Amino acid sequence: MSNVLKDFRGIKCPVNFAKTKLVLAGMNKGDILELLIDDGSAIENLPGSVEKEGHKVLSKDEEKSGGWKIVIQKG
Amino acid sequence: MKKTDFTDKEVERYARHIILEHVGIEGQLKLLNSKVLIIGAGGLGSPAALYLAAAGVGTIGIADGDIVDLSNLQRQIIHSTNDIGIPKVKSAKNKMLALNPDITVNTYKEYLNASNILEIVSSYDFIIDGSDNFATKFLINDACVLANKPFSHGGILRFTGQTMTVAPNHSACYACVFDSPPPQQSVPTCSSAGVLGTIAGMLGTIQATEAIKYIVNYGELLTNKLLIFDAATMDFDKIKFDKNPECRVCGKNGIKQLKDYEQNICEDRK
Repeated sequence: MSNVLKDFRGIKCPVNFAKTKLVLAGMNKGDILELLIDDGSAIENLPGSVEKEGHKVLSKDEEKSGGWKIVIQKG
Repeated sequence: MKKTDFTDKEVERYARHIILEHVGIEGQLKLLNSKVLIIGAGGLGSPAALYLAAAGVGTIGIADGDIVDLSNLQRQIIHSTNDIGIPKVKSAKNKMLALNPDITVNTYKEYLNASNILEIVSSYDFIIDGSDNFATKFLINDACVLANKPFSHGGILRFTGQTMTVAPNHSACYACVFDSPPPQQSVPTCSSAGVLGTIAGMLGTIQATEAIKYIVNYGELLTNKLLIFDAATMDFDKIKFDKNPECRVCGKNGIKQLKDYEQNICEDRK
């Protein structure tokens, strides 16, 4: 099991989701992806889009340095 | 070289395909690695070429022997007023590369005939018939049947359009449905009857969509179906038919070699 951290803050929708899909495609089932994303449309849309692809969003927390950190388990 | 990954720019350019179910990462990579030939850089070829370039079809061939004329510009939107007098394939290539500099565009500044079509067709995965005369349409059909290449037939006139997709040996070919070209002067051409410019956009875009569906292997192609529409009423119909086992082109005693059909070239070209 591996753990990947990506900072996609500043990358707008839907490019942030496209990049997330590509990162997840390179991971194994059960691996954890920690993702930093922007407030606003990113946090409103991206977790739902990731779940529709069959992955699990384990947590969503506001990040002190700005934006949100979401933790995704690859499905 | 086969592409297996995306650059950051490509992720951004193709983001809406990458996030799209049934295209996605795999489908976009298939598009980047695919080769489509567009025969005719006119009304149908214009939107097809632009959308396929935008979609990132990695290699696009475009064949046309004609030069850009002012009377083309009412519908052939890949060309501009300042392209008048230059070869259509050159004008088309410039626009496609301006839209997407990452693709490769091969140009064939020639009219296709029985002696040159097979070689050109054989290096592509899918062919779009954007020609303006029956002789070329039947020739494209015959060449694609012989070379076993899928293609999209398209035709437009007045307010109407028709299209079908042919997967040789699997589905009906153009000759299964229409057998052979109509006698010269028996049917109106786009130059004698006119055509609404937007019809070219509607139909060429459908043909480009068929090419993309074939490449990403999703959905149902217009095989064994003729899609016809009349924009005056916006009625769309699909007529179903089967492969003709006795077809003179793809039937059991089908063609073994190509021949040129009698030309009935659009008056515009003269």
